[in-house]
Amino acid sequence: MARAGRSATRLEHLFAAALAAAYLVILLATAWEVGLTRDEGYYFRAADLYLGWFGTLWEGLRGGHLGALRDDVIARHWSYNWEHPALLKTLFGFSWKLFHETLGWTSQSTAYRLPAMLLAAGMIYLVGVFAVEAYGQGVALFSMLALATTPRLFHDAHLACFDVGIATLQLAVVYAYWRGLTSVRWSLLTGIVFGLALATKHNAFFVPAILGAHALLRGGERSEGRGPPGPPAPLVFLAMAVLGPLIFFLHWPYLWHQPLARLGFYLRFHLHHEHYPVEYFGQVLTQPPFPPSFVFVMTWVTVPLATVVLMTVAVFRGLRYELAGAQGSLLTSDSERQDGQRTRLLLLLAGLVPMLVMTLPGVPIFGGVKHWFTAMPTLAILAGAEFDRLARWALGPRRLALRWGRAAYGGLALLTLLPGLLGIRLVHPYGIAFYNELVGSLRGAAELGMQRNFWGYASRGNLAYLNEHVEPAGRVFFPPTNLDSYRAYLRDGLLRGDIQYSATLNAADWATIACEGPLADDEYRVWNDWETGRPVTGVYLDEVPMNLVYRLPRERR
Amino acid sequence: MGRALMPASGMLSWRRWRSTDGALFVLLGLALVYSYWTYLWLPLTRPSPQDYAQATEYVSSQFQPGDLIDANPSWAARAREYLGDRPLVAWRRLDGEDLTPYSRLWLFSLFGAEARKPVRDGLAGRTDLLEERRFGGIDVRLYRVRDHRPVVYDFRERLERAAVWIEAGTRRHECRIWEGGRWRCGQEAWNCVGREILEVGDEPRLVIWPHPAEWGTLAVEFREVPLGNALAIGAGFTPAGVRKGGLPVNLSLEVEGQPFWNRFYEPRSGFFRDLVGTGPLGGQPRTVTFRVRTSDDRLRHFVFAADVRD
Repeated sequence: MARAGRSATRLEHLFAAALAAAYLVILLATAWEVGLTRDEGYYFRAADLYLGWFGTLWEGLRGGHLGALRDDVIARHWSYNWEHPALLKTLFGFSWKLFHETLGWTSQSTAYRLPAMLLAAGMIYLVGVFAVEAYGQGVALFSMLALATTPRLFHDAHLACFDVGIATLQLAVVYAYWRGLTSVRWSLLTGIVFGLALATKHNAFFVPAILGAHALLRGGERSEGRGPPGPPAPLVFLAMAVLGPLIFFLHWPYLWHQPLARLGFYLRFHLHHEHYPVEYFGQVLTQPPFPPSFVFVMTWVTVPLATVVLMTVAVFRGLRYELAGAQGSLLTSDSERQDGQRTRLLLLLAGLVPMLVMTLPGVPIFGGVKHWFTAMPTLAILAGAEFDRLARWALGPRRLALRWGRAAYGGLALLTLLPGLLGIRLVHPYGIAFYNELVGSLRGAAELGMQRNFWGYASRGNLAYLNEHVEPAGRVFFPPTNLDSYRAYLRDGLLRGDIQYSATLNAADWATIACEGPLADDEYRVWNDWETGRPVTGVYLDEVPMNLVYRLPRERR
Repeated sequence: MGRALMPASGMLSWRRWRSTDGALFVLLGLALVYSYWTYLWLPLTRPSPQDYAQATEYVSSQFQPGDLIDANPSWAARAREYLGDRPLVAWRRLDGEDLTPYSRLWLFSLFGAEARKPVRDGLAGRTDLLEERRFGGIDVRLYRVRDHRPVVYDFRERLERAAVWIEAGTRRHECRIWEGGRWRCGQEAWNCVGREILEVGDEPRLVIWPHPAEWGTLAVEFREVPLGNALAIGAGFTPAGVRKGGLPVNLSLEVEGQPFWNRFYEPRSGFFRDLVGTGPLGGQPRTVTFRVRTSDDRLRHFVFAADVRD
């Protein structure tokens, strides 16, 4: 089915861009109600600091000196949050400067978040272009919509974090590599995009493994002359090996004066990352290794059911064909057996390697499915190809040639993808709580003892109540919403200016408590120390509590 | 002619649907039917604010001292907003809990949770159904608890009147500072004897936290305890203590300085209960001393609860 060498037409590019733009508009329109996660607060502060350095640099350039390049000046701005590369945080800062401070178009938080949303929209666009070139328009449309209606990804696409960004960048590298199989220009471009991926998040370190495995497994065909003509395979890896580290080094001033030592800090941080406890079937996982099934089970219960069924069927079908091909017995039913670019193999590797990496025994306990979002774009394309196959099988080629046949194809696609939209409608703006129909949605997940909350973002839903009820200069205990997120709420006017952040329960008059298994002690502490088990309000999704507000009883004030 | 062809065409079609692709298409169809059913069913079974208002008003109006409310299923505890200042639990496993301190049990259920096996098993043979009311999506049932044994003295409630010390040989370190519901036994935050609510055996429980010290025996002494017919003792480790593993903790009980009861607790998940008869000691108020020992105090997040029963 794959159609090697076919470039998307201008109209197809326009269509993919239009859909991506629509996605961006929806993200922007819904961002204000999505609570700030712990990490975002840190990244906002980092963005400010990094932007400050550019300000110093600009002032220096105007004054004819380069003091901003001194290590002490660099360290003052860039040593904060050195555990992640700086590309996205820098973009967050510039976005804030442009869209909030200069133009005044958005709130502060939305301005910081905008680059991540743009990257999410870019992912939709890239999936469309990749899929249309590899499989055709039907697959492209389905894949884009499948990705856009994945509720957890939709939620994280709002956040000023790196997970959706790196998913986009990984897809961009994979796409550029795929195009580079027949083009020198794209081979060189792969190196540049890989550098940007390295500058986004450390997931990029695993991309060479995906591409290397593809090149090795495809090597036989090239030597037999079956593949399309193109540059020698080493070119793309040479480009990645040279341009990748170079861009990574150049983008991050923190590395400039002490590259090895500071790179060492960065790498060591991730090799010895702290664990984030996570609830999984009633257990709180605190120490690695994860159960080997964790990543796959979590994917199966957090992606809309029909989509994950299609992804799974596509993966098993693809593996069957690839294994048969590797054993030299190409199956006649394999519609992609003539594909010299081995597109399906590349998509399988890009979809499975990020998940397999997360199942390695030494991987820290993280919990969030966002850590393998990098798998989702290519799995969505595979799901699209599988849908296309089944729809064509059901409708038959003759009917598809008719207008009503095409309408039936479209209707079937919408019918398949609509549950994802219903899922988003159910959980938004608390998308991390999404569980699919297989476990009975969020309610079923609560019953099974699955993690439904993370990072303190759900306190956002209680801010209006606090604004209305907290006495002047009242103190609120906000675990685990951090001080940076609290300040961002103040700056955006979402929280009344006089409401104070209390670091401890003892010093507070109010508490917003995240309903999260590993943090359950926060609520028990309220019950115990305040001698009340009665929240005054709460955020509930389908009766599942997400965040509760307690008030210090009158007799204890 | 056309009629004659139809059966053959039907057979062809049937064979087509029995293929792998046919099976996969049916699988996708079933997944979709299930998905739509789920999204239709969720709002239909969700209780309304009016259901809550009516159900909780009813419970409030009929509530008596000695009653307990169990919100069910355990995670659907919005009832706390209405009834949270009354004794209210949200047990994960009702069948593993002790009902006897309470005279009556209100089961406040959503989503048909009243019919689940652990709930039915937990009530069967231990309770009698007194009444049942339905308020939209909420099921309220009132049960009389059989074998009710009222609590006549709760050690946790009277912790601030206890004497607390750590003894090692002839040395005796008194814990004299009562602060924030805890007797301080040292500089470290954990080195105390406190009134706490902590998760033990998968439930938040009202317990005494007596963190053991490996250099001595921790003693908590209560005077003038009216011994009834039995002492109910429950103990266990918090999840952090269970995860740490290690050596057991010993909890022993003396009445008027005489050994009365003793048990070792391994760091495993659970809240382990004992009901110790005190009939022969009844009558006069007595001095009761709990002693906690371990030879390894690292992460010994051991807790206990105890009360005197009629």
